[in-house]
Amino acid sequence: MITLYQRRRLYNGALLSVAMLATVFGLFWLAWLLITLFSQGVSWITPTTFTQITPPPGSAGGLANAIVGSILLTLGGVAVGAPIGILAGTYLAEFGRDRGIAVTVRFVNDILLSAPSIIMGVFIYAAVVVTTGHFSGWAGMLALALIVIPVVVRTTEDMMRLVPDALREAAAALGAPQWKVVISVVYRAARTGILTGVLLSVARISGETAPLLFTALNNQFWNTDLGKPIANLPVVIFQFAMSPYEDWHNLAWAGALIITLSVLLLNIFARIVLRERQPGT
Amino acid sequence: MRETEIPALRPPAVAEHPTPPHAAPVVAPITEGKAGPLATGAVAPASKVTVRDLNFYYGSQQALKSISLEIPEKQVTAFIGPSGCGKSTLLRTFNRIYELYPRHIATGEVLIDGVNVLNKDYDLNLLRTKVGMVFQKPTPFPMSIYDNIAFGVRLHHNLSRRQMDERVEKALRRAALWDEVKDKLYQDGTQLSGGQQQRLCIARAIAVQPEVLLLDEPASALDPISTLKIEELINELKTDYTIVIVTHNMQQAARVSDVTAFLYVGNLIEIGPTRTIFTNPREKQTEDYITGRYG
Amino acid sequence: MVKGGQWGDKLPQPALSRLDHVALFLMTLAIRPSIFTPPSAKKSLPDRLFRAGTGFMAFLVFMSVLAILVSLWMGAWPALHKFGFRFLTGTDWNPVTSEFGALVAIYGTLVSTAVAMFIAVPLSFGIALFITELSPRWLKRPVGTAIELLAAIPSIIYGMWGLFVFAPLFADHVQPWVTDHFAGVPLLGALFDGPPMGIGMFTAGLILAIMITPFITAVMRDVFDLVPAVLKESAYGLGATTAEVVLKVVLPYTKIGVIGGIMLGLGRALGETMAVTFVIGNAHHLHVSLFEPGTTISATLANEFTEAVGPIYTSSLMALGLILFLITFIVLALAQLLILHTSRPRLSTA
Repeated sequence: MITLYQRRRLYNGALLSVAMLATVFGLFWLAWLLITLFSQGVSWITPTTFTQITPPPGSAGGLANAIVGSILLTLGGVAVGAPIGILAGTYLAEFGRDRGIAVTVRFVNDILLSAPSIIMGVFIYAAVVVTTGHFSGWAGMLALALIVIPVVVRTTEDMMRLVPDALREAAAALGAPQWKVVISVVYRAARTGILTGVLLSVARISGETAPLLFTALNNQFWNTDLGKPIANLPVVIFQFAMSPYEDWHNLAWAGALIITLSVLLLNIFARIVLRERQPGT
Repeated sequence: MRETEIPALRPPAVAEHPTPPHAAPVVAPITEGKAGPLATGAVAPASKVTVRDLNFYYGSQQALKSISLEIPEKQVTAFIGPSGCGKSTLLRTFNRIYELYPRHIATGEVLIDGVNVLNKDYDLNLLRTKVGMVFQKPTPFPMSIYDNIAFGVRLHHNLSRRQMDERVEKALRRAALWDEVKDKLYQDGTQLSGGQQQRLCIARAIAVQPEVLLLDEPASALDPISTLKIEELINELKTDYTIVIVTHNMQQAARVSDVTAFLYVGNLIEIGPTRTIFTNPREKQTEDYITGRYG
Repeated sequence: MVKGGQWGDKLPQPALSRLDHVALFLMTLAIRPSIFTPPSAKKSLPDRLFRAGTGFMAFLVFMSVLAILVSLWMGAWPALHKFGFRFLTGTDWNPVTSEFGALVAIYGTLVSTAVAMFIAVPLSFGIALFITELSPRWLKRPVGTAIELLAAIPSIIYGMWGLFVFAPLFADHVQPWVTDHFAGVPLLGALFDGPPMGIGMFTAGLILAIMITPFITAVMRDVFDLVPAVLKESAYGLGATTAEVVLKVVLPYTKIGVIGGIMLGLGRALGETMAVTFVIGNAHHLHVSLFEPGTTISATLANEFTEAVGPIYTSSLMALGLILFLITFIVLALAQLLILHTSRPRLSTA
């Protein structure tokens, strides 16, 4: 006969074990994924991976054009998206606050933050590719910028709101106009946080595939002209992995490892930067 | 020991109470209050700031009710009263800092040197060079000690490097901070101790060469020794500046101020020479508050 | 075109002009500084410019959602006009005959998401419970960070890994066993029937589950941390076990936020593309079995968009995109409303 007390203890033990198991289960996938990536990817990364362009099936080659294309698209996406995001975030934190319009923008932004990235691709296809008549690096860049914006808006606003109002009042009390208060005092206090947001957005878009599929498309040749379709790692990985050719699979693994490593390092770096100095003081 | 007195006699918390019956509309003290400082001094100091029929609203909530008073020039005036009584609100109308927030509205007049600064046409930048402010918590900007001081000066004057150096040094000396920081002027201002930060903020405020200095509970976040330093500083500064200080520490008001005003739930109850207010207040409410019998 | 009328020849006109009204109204808001500025303040020109500039960018963020809706609507219009309501209920997806119906893709999207939620919700709850209530202090941060890194890994990596590593193992070692053992069971037998290919709805759902777990976990963890310590302490003080405190105090206190987190994960799962595209099989057929290949809206888009020829084919894909956007928009909007109710925890930006 089990007493009530024993039953409660059993029940408690069961739930806690399940929680523990869930955590182990989650970490198990992370470990499995990373281990496969390394074991598969490392052996196919050679100097030629970085010096030669994507080959036709059956011949040797590398990912040089895709890597350069990815860097161009990512930097371009951030260069377009980050300033818009920072300014919009500034509006929400400094001027909008709790006004109706700011609440609406914040709401919409949080939805964009989680909206399917493939939709951004379809949108840019309809808005840019159809209008200009061809796929291009510019279109890919804009699609990525659309993903950068909500991330940066969110972190910028959050970080600027951590800066105490007393600091703003102190600057205003010296006779500083509001733009000066924001630029010389609030931005300075929140700069690490804002930078973290930008870094996180870089990490996010450097692995994005879906928005590039029908914007930047792909290019098997060397190309740095953003007016034309441009090779990029995610789309190359997609095409190579889905192909029936063994040597293309191997290059896809190499590319996958390169992307994952860059994204994880960027993420960890961003976290360290943020932890080093919290804004607000 | 002066600092041991500080924690004693905290004002009782009465902010939550609705207006008690004995806090009935007070009109009389206004005229009498005006006479207060004039009556004691052999030489009557001129009034620097004159408040006339000032009302303040946070949205629909009225925080100040028809306040009228005068602040004597180059003296220290203290605003005391329980938290929520409106003393900080009153102070914040003097440099219109409340305008940073929507739906904070002041009506009436605040005259500085006879000119109404609440007038929308009054230049806000000019007002804030004339009226400096120091806040409850130290607010060093996230930049070097030097730049903290230079920030405000640069807003209004285009000085050469040498002139700026002089201005920074002078301000830091005046705030009794120079000796502590002269070797680390380019260090981040946020790394100073709390008391040093607060004196940095005072230096920053006086570097702009204001005429009036508003201190909003400047020592409430500091330890007793730093508090003592700030109080000594206030005493020295009043030779050059008209100082208005908000404090909920009555000992502090008694120590540093020449004139004391007692506010209660948005009303000015009494204003007069500090000695009179603390030894022989006219109003029963003031006496109750001073002696800690409130609530 | 009788059926096309159901979508309404009149519909696009008012819909567009209504959007125009909203846009115009917002434009006035953005341009007229007096609405933004407190009535008393007299702002200098640089201040007004700064405010207008940042306000314009915020306005742009708002407009981008409208622009996405409008462009998808216009792109989808030919297909919606041609097929009418049939587009939603049709199971044919035939580029040769130009006959398109979205039902298979919608079904696949919903089923793979359902599988994902079925796995991810308990998993996230367990992990959040571990991090907030069980973990020793020194372990909290590493575990939390590791789980968040799971969200940072690009989805294409999940897809590749699923296709090359997980699917073969699953097909060889798990699927046959499951199919055999559930063969006789009435409902489950049908669910787990089919050839052991490794790819299909179930694999897609499982990989989706791993991908969205970090997002749900993050929200759950944040709202669990919002429970006042005194509340938990008083329950412990009555002699409650950890399980009782969590289920009877923490969960009821945070249920709205928890549901918001689940909705957020749901929104992510519905729209996830690359991971699903690799492992779902891309077959436009309706199957009851989870082991059969299928397709989702996003996988169809990823696979077919660039190859689509003819205006109706492309337009049908746009219409799929519109449906996906509307579904996720509604789900995410609900998630936002629920999470806003409890507080404003950070929705992971990774």
